[in-house]
Amino acid sequence: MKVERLKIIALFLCLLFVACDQKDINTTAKVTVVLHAEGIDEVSEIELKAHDINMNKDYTESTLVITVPVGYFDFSVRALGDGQAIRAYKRGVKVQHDCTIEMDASYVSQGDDNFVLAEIFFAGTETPEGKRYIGDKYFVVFNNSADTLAADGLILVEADLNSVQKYDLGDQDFRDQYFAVDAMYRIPGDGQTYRVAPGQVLLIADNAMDHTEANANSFDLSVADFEWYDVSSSAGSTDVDNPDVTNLDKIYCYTQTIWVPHNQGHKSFGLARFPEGMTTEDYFADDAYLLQYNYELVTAAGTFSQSKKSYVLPNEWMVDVVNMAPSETFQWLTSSDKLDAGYAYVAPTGSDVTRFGKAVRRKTLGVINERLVLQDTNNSSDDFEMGVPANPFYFKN
Amino acid sequence: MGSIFCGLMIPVVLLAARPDSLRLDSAQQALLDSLERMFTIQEVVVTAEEKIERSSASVINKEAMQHIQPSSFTDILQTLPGGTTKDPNLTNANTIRLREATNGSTSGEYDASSLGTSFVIDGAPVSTDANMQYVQSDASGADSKRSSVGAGVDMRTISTDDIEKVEIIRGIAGAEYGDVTSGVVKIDRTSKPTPWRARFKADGFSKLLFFGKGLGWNDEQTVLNFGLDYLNAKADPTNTLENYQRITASVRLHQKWQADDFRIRWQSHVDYTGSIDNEKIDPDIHRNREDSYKSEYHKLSWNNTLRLHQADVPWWCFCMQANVSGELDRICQTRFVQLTTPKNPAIDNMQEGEATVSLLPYKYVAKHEVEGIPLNVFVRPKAEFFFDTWKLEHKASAGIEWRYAKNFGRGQIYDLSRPLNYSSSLRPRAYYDIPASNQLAWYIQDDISFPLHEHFGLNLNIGLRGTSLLGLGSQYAINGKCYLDPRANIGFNFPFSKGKFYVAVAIGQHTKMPTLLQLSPNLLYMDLQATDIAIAPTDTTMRIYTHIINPTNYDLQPARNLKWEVRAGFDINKHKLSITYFEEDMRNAFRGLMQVEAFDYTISENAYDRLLTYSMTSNGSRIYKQGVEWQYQSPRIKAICTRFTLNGAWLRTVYNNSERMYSTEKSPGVVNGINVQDHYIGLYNWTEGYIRESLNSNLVADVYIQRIGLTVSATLETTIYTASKTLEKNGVPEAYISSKDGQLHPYDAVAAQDPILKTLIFDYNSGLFIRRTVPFEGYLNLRVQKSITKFANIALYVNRLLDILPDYQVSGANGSMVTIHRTASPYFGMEINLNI
Repeated sequence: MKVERLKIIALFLCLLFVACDQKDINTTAKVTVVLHAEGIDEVSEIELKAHDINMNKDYTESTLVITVPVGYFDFSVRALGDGQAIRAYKRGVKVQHDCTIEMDASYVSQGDDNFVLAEIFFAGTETPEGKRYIGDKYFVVFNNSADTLAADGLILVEADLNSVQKYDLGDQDFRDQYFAVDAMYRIPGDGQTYRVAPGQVLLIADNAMDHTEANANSFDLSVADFEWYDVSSSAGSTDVDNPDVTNLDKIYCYTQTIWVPHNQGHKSFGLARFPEGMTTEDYFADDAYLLQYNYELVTAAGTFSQSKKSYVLPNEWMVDVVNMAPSETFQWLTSSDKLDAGYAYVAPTGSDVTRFGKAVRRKTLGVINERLVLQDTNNSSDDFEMGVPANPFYFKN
Repeated sequence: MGSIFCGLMIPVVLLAARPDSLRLDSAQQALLDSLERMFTIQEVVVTAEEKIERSSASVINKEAMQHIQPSSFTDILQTLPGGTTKDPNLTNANTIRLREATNGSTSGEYDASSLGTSFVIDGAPVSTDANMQYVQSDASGADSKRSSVGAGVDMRTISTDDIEKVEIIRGIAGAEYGDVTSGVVKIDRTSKPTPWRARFKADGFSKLLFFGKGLGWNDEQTVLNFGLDYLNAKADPTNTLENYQRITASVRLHQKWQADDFRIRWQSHVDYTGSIDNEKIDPDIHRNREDSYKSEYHKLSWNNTLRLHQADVPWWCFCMQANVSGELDRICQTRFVQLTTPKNPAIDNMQEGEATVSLLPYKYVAKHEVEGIPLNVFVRPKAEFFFDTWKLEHKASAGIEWRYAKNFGRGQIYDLSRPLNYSSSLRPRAYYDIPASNQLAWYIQDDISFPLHEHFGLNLNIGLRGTSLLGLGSQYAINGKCYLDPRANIGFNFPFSKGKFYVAVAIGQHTKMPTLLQLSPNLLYMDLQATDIAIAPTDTTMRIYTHIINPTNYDLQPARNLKWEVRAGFDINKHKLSITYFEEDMRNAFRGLMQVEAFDYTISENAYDRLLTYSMTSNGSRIYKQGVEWQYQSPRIKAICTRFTLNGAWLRTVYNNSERMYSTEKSPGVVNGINVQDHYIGLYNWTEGYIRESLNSNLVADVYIQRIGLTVSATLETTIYTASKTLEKNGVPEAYISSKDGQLHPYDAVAAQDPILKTLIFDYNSGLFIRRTVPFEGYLNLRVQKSITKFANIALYVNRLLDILPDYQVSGANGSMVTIHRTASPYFGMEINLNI
């Protein structure tokens, strides 16, 4: 009994010393950011933000030097480089004392047509009973440009190649030229029907309906702007069509039943447009867009010769590509790295059961000229927040 | 010396042939019995022995079986030439694949191989023709790995403890064995007085308990044997929720009567086998709490054999065999079902035509039951005649056989509006509505010996068997047709003073009739919907059109396997060698082949057309087996009390389709809004299949030291290589069928340019068809048996005590090489046997 009491006293004293000690060390640190901005002469309107990960608190500074309490931080820089928006980002920096961190700056992409995929929810949800529900997948398309754009003709695509099954394509590697697709669904319209203001979004759902009836952990998607509807002549695979929500035009899908975006996140997604004047008939008639190729499937047990047939879109037609792959099982980029040099994920492995209800969401660069601008550096590893709780209305609010 | 040897050889040969051999008087019988005892004491054989008469066959006796320490019959197969030791897997169905490469197919398309292997227990074949225990609509669920429908006998259900001797006929079976394509497993069980025997076995995954005794009265005129066996196996030792339990009980009465002129022997066996497969989800885990699977199997069989023969030197013998077996099989599966997509219909329409069906609730509990009550009857009167013509000795026999199979179960029982799998369109039906199968067969055979010369003898076995299926209805092509199986074996013996050489050639046709499910498959219900009227989120019903298709193949033929083999060997001073080369070609094995039908339908007065695809049992598979089997057995070398056995096999098996086939394998889905499969399907004249090849060799050294009651065997089990190759196939369709007219159109240059039809072509990578080999692997297995007292004996075994798994290289990405590193883990078991 005595020994026990002694132990408790000793422990108490230790804690006291530790507590005293804590008071004596520095509690703040000065962080100096060195911004590498290749080809940029002048950097102005700097906004340096330090986000304390543990305390969930933000510190901002209009110079590249900031004083913060010790801790773990995500640093981001928003600025104008030669008058254009640039950004830099560094995550998970441990700050214990005064230090210097280096960050690479790059331009915020500002193409002519700047629709981007802002949020992708492919994993489905889990019901309160622990079962899976996959009818509530959605994509959020965001106008990241400064102009009002028409979404008519924008094609939502899923990649045909799988990010966790590496193909050795040898000299038949077409990725620098083409993006292989296994599903293409197009926003209808006459060219000016579906106009989207800068910073505004389109919600494209598998089924535009209230899913909370089927699964309390899901969402009400009945207000979606579009849904994809798969006609089936078999009653065993039935898709639902909300008459109040416009359907996407189904151009192509690898399956004759219902398109369910890859629920383990092994397939990239993208937005594309056919060239002006090209019809789907033109597209399918042209042999150039149906590639038959051989490859070696690369596995831990060696390579296996295979062949495959894919419909492809030239890279120039791609408006946005977001490569997807679980962080630990990623094998290869299924698109050209010029389309997307990185990949996004919601979980370390494809079958991770914690992935349900999680999405990838594009990071916000900030509000520029009163419009929300999202980060698009064509590197999804950087551009996306991984595994965030899915919220189809995040960008609407 | 020669005469002594011959004097010994004759009884040995007689011993081997004893069940059928009747030309013995009582003195000879007594001599034989004492010889048998003497031989079994001194000549303990713990490996399979190669039988050289008639056909290539392996004989495994009780000592060998005890040495193997089996949990079920599956474990015995490791003793076949080229056999490999496999750890017991008792939570999956175990079916037999004779003479197939070790890396052979496990695909259901080639199940005819195991379906065509006949298990004959105490003279009565085990019929699985009425087995329909599977959970329809749940092809990938808990049931799929446990069901053996259409795949023959599940060897898990055969307990080994009452078995006295097993003979596995790999080659050409005698004409008395029918409804078989691949081989015959002949099981004879103990029928003699024995002390109380008890066995307790435990290994990593299972426990087994056995009790048995044989009683004899009136100078063994009456013998009663009984045995009780219990096995409990788990899929994983730490998981008590997935297991397999088996109980077998057997009572066997043998009664002999002697009249002045006749001898009568009556055997009456009553056997019960019960087994339960269980799979549950841990109730402590919140998920899927309701989900469970349980498959029960209860079989009761009564087997009677009555033999009547003359008391003195007999020239005829009459034998009547009658076997009745009934089963009560039940599968109960419960599953909590959540719709993964929002709206799905609860289709309960059983009529052809348009119907309105309600939609399923988002979540429900589905209960599915499968009740099967197969009844099998086997009756065979046969007569045997023994006579001489000139210098020829004949043993002729003829028999008639009737096999009846029927299932009286209620079949798949479930609420159609709450199905296990809501995307399935299958409908339940009662099994008792399926017509019974009546198989009538006859056979004649003659074993002729020509003792031509002192140094040359000739054996000729010829037989003819006819099999017919009766009462099926005239629409079946098979009905009433007699399928003839001629079988012949000719053997040349060259005896000399120290032993003999022999060469033999055998050829035979083998026929397996289709099972009840293959003859009378369930009707198919195609539930179609309108392609221009969609279900809205607020809808509670939908309109469908149900089209009923009868997938019965009235042209179905029995699977027929033509086998031939050449055997050669010697038996010199107890050095025994046999080598067999064989080929087996089954060109019309059963497989489900895709059928296509163009169908027009209307829903709410709108007209639609599409192609419907379904599977029909056909004779579309080919299984071609080829190989060399060998076995050498040395005498026991006295100085080291050791016998060496070297056996092995080179086996090459080709599995492929034998008919042209429709395929949607590479169909592209929906192109430009057109569902391609619904409207165009290609007909390919291709070979879809693969070759599997293996070379195995096993060296067994067994040490038997009688003085201390110790038997030790070490087996070096090696696979020199296995190889596999996919058969080349041409992905250009020969023709295509269109939904517009339901006609086949040639696939020409115009079609190849069509934006939709061009998707039916597929170019295969030539690298896909490269032969791939896996190099050497070797294991050392150890088995030890030790008598502790006169009454007890303990045994243990270790599989893969040592392993030799050299690394090897395969091609990797970008021309690099990948090193494959293989590992193996040992497997232990031990047991205690008591004889009181």
